[in-house]
Amino acid sequence: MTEDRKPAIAAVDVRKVYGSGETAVVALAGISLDVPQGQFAAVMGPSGSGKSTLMHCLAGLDSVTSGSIELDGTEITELSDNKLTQLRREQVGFIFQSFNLIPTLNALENIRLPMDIAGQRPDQAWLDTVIDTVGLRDRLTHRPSELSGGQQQRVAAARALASRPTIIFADEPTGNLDSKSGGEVLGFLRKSVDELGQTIVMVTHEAIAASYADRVIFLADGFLVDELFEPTPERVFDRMKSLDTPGKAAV
Amino acid sequence: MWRAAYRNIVAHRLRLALTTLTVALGIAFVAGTNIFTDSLQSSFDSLVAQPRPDVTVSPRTELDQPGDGGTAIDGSALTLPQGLVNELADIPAAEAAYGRVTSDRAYVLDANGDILGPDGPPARVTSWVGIDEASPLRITEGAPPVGPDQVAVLVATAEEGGFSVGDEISIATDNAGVVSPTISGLVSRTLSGGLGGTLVVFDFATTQQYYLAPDLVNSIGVMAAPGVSQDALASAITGVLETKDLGPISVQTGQESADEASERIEEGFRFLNTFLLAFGFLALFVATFLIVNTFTMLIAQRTRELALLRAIGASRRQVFGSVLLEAALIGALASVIGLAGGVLVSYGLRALVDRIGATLPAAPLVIENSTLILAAVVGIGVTVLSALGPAKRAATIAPVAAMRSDSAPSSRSLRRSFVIGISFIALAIPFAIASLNISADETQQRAAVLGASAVLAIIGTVLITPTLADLLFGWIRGAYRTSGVSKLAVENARRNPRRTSATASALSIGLALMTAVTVIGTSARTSIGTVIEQTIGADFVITNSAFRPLEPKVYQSVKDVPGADVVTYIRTVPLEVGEERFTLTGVETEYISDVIDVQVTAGSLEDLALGTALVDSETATTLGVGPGDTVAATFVNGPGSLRIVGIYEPIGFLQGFFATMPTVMSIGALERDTGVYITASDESQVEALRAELNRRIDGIPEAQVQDQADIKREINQQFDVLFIFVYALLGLSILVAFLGIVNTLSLSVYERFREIGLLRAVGMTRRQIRRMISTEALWIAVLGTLLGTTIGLIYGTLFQRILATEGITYLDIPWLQIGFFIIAGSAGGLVASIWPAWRASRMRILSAISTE
Ligand SMILES: Nc1ncnc2c1ncn2[C@@H]1O[C@H](COP(=O)(O)OP(=O)(O)OP(=O)(O)O)[C@@H](O)[C@H]1O
Ligand SMILES: [Mg+2]
Repeated sequence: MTEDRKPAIAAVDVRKVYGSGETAVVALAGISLDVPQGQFAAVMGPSGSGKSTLMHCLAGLDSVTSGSIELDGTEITELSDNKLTQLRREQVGFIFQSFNLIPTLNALENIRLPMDIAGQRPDQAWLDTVIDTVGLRDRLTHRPSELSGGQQQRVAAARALASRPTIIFADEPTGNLDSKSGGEVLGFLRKSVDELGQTIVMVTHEAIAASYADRVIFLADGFLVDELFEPTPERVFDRMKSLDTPGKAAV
Repeated sequence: MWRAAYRNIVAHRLRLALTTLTVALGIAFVAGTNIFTDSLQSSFDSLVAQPRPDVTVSPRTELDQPGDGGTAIDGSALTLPQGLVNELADIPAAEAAYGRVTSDRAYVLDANGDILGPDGPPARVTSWVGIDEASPLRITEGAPPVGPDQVAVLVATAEEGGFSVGDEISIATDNAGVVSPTISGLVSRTLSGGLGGTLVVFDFATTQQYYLAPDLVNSIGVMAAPGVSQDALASAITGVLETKDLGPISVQTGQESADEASERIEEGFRFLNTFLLAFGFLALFVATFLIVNTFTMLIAQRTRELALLRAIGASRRQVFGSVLLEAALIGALASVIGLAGGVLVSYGLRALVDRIGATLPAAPLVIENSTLILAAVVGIGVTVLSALGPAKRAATIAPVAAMRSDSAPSSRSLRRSFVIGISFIALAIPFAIASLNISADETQQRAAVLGASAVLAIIGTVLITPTLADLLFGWIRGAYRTSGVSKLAVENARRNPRRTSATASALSIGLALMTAVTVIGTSARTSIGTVIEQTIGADFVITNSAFRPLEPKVYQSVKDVPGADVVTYIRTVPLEVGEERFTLTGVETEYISDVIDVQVTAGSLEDLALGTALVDSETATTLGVGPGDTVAATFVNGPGSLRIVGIYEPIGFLQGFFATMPTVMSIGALERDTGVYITASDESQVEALRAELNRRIDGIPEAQVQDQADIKREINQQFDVLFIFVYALLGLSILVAFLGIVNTLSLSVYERFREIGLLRAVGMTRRQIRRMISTEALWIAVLGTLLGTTIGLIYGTLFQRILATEGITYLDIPWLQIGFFIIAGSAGGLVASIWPAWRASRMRILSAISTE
């Protein structure tokens, strides 16, 4: 099902090394990866395997040591800070594990923030669709401190969606949530893929979270070691267990 | 805990460096003021301690006490017979006596025939004494002057004019016009530098010939015979003088004259001292806002860390102590830096005071122990006191705070400080009203009450500023439809109203003073200008550029100038009624109305006769006299009386008594004119008249011809210098305030690094981040500037009303200048934001969002 769609993001042999010489840490050891449009991809792997690093590199938040990354056909590894910022603003949405919202702005203002920063008028119909999908209509004037953790993450998700980015990156978006609110957020992400055709790359530790995705990518020690389509929690869990053992042996 | 305090300082060195700098600036000012005044004091001490005759015998007026050295009128015009010198030398108690001739009209001329040096300081001449024990003057190069063709000049004077020994020099004299003797030598004063102005020295006979008359001296110095005390000599001299009828004479011992000199100096500089110290403390006061701010923020940031310390067993007292210790260490460091800065400040003050025209003696820098102690006490004291509140809060942090993820400081209610602030302001109002209602004579009392009101108003405003900031920024926030960069900036300024307003208040205090001073100063300038326009009807006024009376030859040389309708002169002389001193102005009654507009309300100028006077209505009220009454007064030549025959309205300098010229001369006025007034007969020929007047006084360098515009310009220049002085001093507190903005912004940038990272991640460019921080700074500065100028305007206006009785009759608000203050203050906020904004824009996105 991946072949017939144009990739939203295409990475070729991406390497990322922190530091140099004796203390050098290879976070990404040459990763090649395509995420087609409209796909919900989960990235899994043991702690320290390079998940966050991969996501940061793909999103243009961090520079790569070598390799190429094309976001919607644009090579991003050579872009200036300003161009990258513009790219993030227009083509990328983010959901972080915590601290996603500006505390002085209310929910609606947070959702509109990227467009306000860019000085663009949001597409009101789309905004309404997003808000209704997130189910936050009665909470729009509340500030982050007045929202629950799950609601905050849903606001963050709505913000990521509101500007119709090419791709959304989410780093453990449910890491701080209980299973019920985590489920709500994940259900919403799934819905945005199914109903709105959104592309999402999500880093997660939880097999259940990964099971919401179309595809799971497994990392270990900076390598892409495995992939799984149409995951179920059980299959993901099994794969993780098998991954842990050779991964450790390789170190 | 010691180690924790030390570690904290190292870990937060950048923020602490800013705090230290802020405290150090305040201390630099206080210490600098002290060093400056101590140095000045020591040089005056040496001036006081310089050699002087054991007893000085000098003529005095009836207005002076017998022991005074000074005279109420131009001292060099009072004389003693030269024969007295030998008589005094012959008394057994005396070893030697010498006559002295002095004047301060020995203008040294440069190549263009202009007076050397700035206007104001006297152009002194003295006869050479030649007794080292009696005179501070020493020949440093060449030889003492001998005969009419030789002169010695002060080293400083020679330097200023570029003269050296052997050169010819042009000097104006009273009796021989401009003379050109050869410089025989250079003189210096022992122990200390000059007192400003120029000094030339001729031998006795020459000085007498040029500046006095044969057989007269200005004073006599007597040296005691071995074993005779100064007091014994003085009473022996008094005994001799009592046998003669020489009019009032002062006999002053060397000790008395030294005491008087030091007393006069102290009095002269007491005001300056207090004034400078006040500015130093103002700067420190402003600094305390910033210190409190910094510590509050430091503690807020470290809540978790401190809570962790508490959780692992540190006691409240230990946490409290560690924060205070940190403050003390910063205070100590700031004191050392401030002291070093104080040396620079003292040099700066010297330069400033020199600029106002008071040339100060060259003096070595004196750093007294008291300065060191003051710097340490103030530095450590202010810092520790400022940190007390935050430290207390730190100590009450519950250990569980370590476990909470959100460490935002609980926003305490603003209501309490608002209520207190409003009460202060409410209290300021009756004070202000009271000050306006106090009797117009009690200017000092009125000013004190209004000053109290101003202090209350400022404190009140500082207290309500957080609420104002909250309201204002809340309102501005509402006006933004989208949450772009600008709205975020307002949000940030509003987020912590206390911090924002403390930062803004620091700025507003300095600006309030600046605005008030400007309003008062401009009003004074306008008032004087208006008075000049209203009172001076003459086309030209000739005065002495050195603020001294003119010799009669000026009037003589212009009185028949062609093209003039009226040429007249006035003379002034002091007199005392009871303890109070007034001025009596002598006029030529037939001409005076043509050149000066006197608003006579009772009687008339023309009806004045010998022994009668007009008096201004205010003086009349003060003395309780009216037309027909006789006022008993002490004149310079003894007790007498004046009969009041009329009343006029005082305007500006036009006040006191008016009398005919014969009346004034009869009570001891000198043949010296305060001013010569000329009206043109043909208005179209005014410029020709000016040229002719200038030609006629060409040989009298101190005389200057001025029209109304010239007089106003001269007064404006004096005001400008005064403004520069006050602005330079206030500038310091404003500089501290801007440092405070830098400090607050960098701390809040640090606090919000995750937020900034998030904004960058979702698409804010570096430039937008910078703009966001700058806009926040702008709002803080605008708040401070607006509040400051508002208070300044209100109190400037009120002070003008109080000073209306002192001659500042017209309120003139310099809107343009105040507009400039507002713009410059706001722009200053932008400049202060450059560095924090740059840091914010350079923040690494990832470190911001990935730190837990
Ligand atoms: N700024 C950095 N400097 C040096 N090394 C880094 C840096 N950031 C990450 N690393 C290293 O790179 C490797 C990959 O880190 P990364 O954060 O991508 O792991 P992760 O898979 O997201 O782990 P986790 O599941 O714990 O979040 C780790 O070994 C980490 O120590
Ligand atoms: Mg991670």
